[in-house]
Amino acid sequence: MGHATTWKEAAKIENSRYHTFFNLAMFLAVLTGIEIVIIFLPWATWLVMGGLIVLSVIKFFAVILWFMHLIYDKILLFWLFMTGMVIATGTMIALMLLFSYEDVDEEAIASVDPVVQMVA
Amino acid sequence: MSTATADAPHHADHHHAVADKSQLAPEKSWLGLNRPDRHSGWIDWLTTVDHKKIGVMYGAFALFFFLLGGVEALMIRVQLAVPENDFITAQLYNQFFTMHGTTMIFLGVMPLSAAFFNFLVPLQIGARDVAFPRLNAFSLWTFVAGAFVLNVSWFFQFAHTVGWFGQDLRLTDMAPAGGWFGYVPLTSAEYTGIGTDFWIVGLQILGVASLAASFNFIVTILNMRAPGMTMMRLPVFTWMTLITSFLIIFAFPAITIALAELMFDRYFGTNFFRVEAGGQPILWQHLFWVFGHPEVYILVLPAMGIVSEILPTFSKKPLFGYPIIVFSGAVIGFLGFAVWSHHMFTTGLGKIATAAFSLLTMAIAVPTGVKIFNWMGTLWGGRIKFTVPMVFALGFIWMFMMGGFTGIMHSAAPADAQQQDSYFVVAHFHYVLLGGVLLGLLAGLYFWTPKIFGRMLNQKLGYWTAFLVIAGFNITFFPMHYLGLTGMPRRTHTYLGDMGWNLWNHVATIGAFILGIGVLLCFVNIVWTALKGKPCESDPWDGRTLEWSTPTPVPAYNFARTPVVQARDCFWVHKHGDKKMDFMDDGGHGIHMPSQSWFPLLCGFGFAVFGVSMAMLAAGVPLAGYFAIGGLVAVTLGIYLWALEGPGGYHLDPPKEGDEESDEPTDAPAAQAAH
Amino acid sequence: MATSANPPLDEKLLERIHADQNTNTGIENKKLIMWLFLASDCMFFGTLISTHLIYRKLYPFGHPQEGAVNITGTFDIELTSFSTFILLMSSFLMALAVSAMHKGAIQSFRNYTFGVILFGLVFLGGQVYEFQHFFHGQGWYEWKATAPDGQEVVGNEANGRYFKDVASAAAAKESFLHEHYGVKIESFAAQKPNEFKYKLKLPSKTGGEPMIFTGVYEYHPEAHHAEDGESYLKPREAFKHDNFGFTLDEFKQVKQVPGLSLQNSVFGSTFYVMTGTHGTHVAIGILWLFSMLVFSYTKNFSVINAVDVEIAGLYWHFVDIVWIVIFTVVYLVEYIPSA
Repeated sequence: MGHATTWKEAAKIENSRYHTFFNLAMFLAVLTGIEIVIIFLPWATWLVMGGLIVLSVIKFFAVILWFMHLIYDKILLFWLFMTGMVIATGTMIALMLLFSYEDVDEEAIASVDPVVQMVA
Repeated sequence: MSTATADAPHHADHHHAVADKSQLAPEKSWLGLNRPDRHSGWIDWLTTVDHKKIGVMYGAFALFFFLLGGVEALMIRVQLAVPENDFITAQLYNQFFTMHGTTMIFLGVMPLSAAFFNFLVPLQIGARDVAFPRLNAFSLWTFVAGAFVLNVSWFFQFAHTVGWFGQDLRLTDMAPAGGWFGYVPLTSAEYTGIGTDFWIVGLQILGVASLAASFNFIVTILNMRAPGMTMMRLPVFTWMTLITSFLIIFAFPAITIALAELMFDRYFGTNFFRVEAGGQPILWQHLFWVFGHPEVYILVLPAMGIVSEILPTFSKKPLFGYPIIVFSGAVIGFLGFAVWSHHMFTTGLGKIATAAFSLLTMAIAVPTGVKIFNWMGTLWGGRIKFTVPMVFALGFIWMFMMGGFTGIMHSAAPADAQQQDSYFVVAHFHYVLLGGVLLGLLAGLYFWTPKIFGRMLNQKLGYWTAFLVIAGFNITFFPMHYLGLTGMPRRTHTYLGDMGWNLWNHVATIGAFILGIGVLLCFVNIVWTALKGKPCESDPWDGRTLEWSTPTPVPAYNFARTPVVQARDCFWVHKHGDKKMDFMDDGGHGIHMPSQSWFPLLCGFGFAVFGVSMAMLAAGVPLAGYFAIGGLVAVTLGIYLWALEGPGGYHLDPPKEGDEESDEPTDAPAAQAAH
Repeated sequence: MATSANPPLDEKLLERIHADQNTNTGIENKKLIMWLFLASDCMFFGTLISTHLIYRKLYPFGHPQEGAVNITGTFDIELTSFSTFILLMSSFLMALAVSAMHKGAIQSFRNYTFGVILFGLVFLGGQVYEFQHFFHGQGWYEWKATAPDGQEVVGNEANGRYFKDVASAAAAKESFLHEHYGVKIESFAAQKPNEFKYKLKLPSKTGGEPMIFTGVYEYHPEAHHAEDGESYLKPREAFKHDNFGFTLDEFKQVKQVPGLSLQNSVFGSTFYVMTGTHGTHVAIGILWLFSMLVFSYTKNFSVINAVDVEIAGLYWHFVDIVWIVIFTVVYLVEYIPSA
């Protein structure tokens, strides 16, 4: 970020950010609203799923870039954080792919007492 | 919440610069308490924030635990010396191999690496201290707390053995017995007792220590470099510290969560790993190795860094292919997160996953091989001096390479299916961790002890150590390749006499004792040198990096004036090249020093109370839960008081060049005194 | 922009703030370490969320057996959406608090931070309520009863109004009997010793006129020697336990959402541990901001501490983005049919 050299300048920079932050907060609220609505729409599963993922990613980046100042700060911070994000996301995806229902040993689990069954 | 040394200027007005901190009036913290600055002796050590003292303490604890882990290993070897031996019970045997692995990895190798990080990194980058000195002390005491929690379990085991707890306990393992990777369901509440609880909580606490230290080192290396010390001028050891720290901060959270889930299973009856309720024990294996494989590189990269410092010094040549070595280190670190499932080839991952992890494992051998070629390139055409550190470093290359070869054998999944859980694997990782890491660390000890204690280790004894360690190590572990391929399972308590394993087991046990004598000799040498050794000059090896430019012993402020780095291997270029190092103006107000603090120690104490109480809670001791909460309260209190005492700080005036009145002539920067 | 409560803006102070950025990277040490911590925390939450998603993938019912948990029945998406919104707005306020510190406006920093703490507490309160709700589960019951005057009364009850535990219909029935069919006592007066006249109102479930019952109740203290150790019940109390002379003819459960606990299913284990860890992060954030707020009234606090506020803010925003992910992959996706 451009450093303010006087308090006046600092105030100017921060005041201009107020509107950015306000608009962003409203934007995020709207996106959350859209997320809540689309899950009840009779769309194809992949479409809703895709929509949710895209919206969450947008929200995620909006927060880290503006609220967390990454867009104003040194680019190094962005890459440091993204390193963690990429490793975490990659590990998550790999783990998800490694597990499948075929691996479940139904017989081993079958010995459990059934919990109260649904009525009606 | 902690002091950045960068806030130095704010407090400049509070103190006059003095030559010796004993001349200062007692300093008050914001809380109105006296800060422990002016004490000396053991209080100074307990409250120190000096990276050099912290490094020495890390080293001392690490050496102690090395000996402990070594004794445990010898017990294992004695038990296996002859077939159908009953020297120790099967349960005690399980506890010995569990604690041997855990101790060596978390309490031996990692803290010894941390000792080098602490002592060397600020010196190598030309900084006054690490970025967060109190956080550094916190890491040390938290590590000590974790080590205490893990090992205090032995006292409970002893108490049980002599019958203090009566005979009606269902589970009698008071010390961890579930193996160093603690596979469930073995570590579930049904099969193991409070030993596993000690293990879980102990590792959690050690994780906190490692994470805090790693954050600190990354910030230090990125932010605190002397002017001119660009990233591509960093000594390779500092680079490897940086990569190791990144590995720690990305790998440790996985084990933290896995341990927390296991802890919830044991304490609160959750179903994370309980098969009968749909939990998947294999998930534990995955999460453990997501951490566990990067952990292997966390162990080995610092040793690689040490070797990369020693080889050029004694070859009188710059490191061959510096950028490639650094890049290879980074690639190893990154790929290290993508190969974890090669520890699990025999669990039935499916064809695609097995093939993918197999290929990635083969790929990670490439940067490792690149490094080995670069080290050989460094040696090639050099004027090699076979000093003790150099002998260890050369031993490192050879032994580590052999461990690497068997590693590549494991990367082929069908071969691995034969080798899994056999002594072949034991041979493999001991070649990597003992032949690789331990030799590298011993090389580092011999190399830097003159800087740390100002005294030279006994070289003759050093050559003997090198001979005994390398010979004993090979006699112990080379036969294990054969034992493994003929089918001897890992972690077996004993074996029958007609399996054809008798001879090599016997040989291995003899080798283990030779190795043990070698290591003991080394430690005796270090202790004797630290106390009574012959003082030596500040740059005995004709070193290349900044730490050798400081006087010996290194003054509390490291550099009287901050050096301006002009080249890679700057001190070498300064001495023998055409570009001299410059020194920054000291500004005339002395050097800002951080104040010492009791509170990191309080946090460590709180963690120790918490850890032991959690195990007691699992054992059903009344009120243990309150003690556990009390421990956490102590930690929180420590953090609050630490934040509230203020950053503090005082100013020291280093002795000026040619200052006749100074009674500490060694305090003059050696680099300047030499010219 | 500074109000009168703010300290005078001092150019020297500003210079000192910038001196902290005089590092190799131009980033303050504290800020750098915070970002590293957050990068590491990604892996922390990544592992937790992975655990949850793996078990969701393996067990379509949240448990090997169908019926152990009813996920969408348990969830209360209105409440969670509200919590999400609150957390989002707290993030907005946090950004403003950091902004205020950067321009030296300490009083506005205090105001905004107070807002963040308040919103954080609302979020935590929502989570506590949600956990309690989820733990107890929900049930719907139909019942038929005969009033003292022979009238037939039918009704249904949703859990949460009268019953706390719906794990078994028998327990619910027991609880129901003690809760008096939802009747209200209009009057209750002694007529003779041991005899009381009463008037009851039973609200209609369909929105029509409430039913009124009147009757006489005989009280024999010795007959109410309670099993739970309480000796003699007061007349009115004893009267309640006698169910106004109504007899319950039929009581059946028509729908049930079983309670979700740490122990009863894999879904419960992963859900509570994951959201609980997030909640713990929120609680730590509240404690941190509260400490900062209190500290801002001491003499040691000045605009120099802008970076301290900023790193607390980074932590708070991170907690928010973790919730963005959890809200989507843990809550919302459950509502997609056949997902």
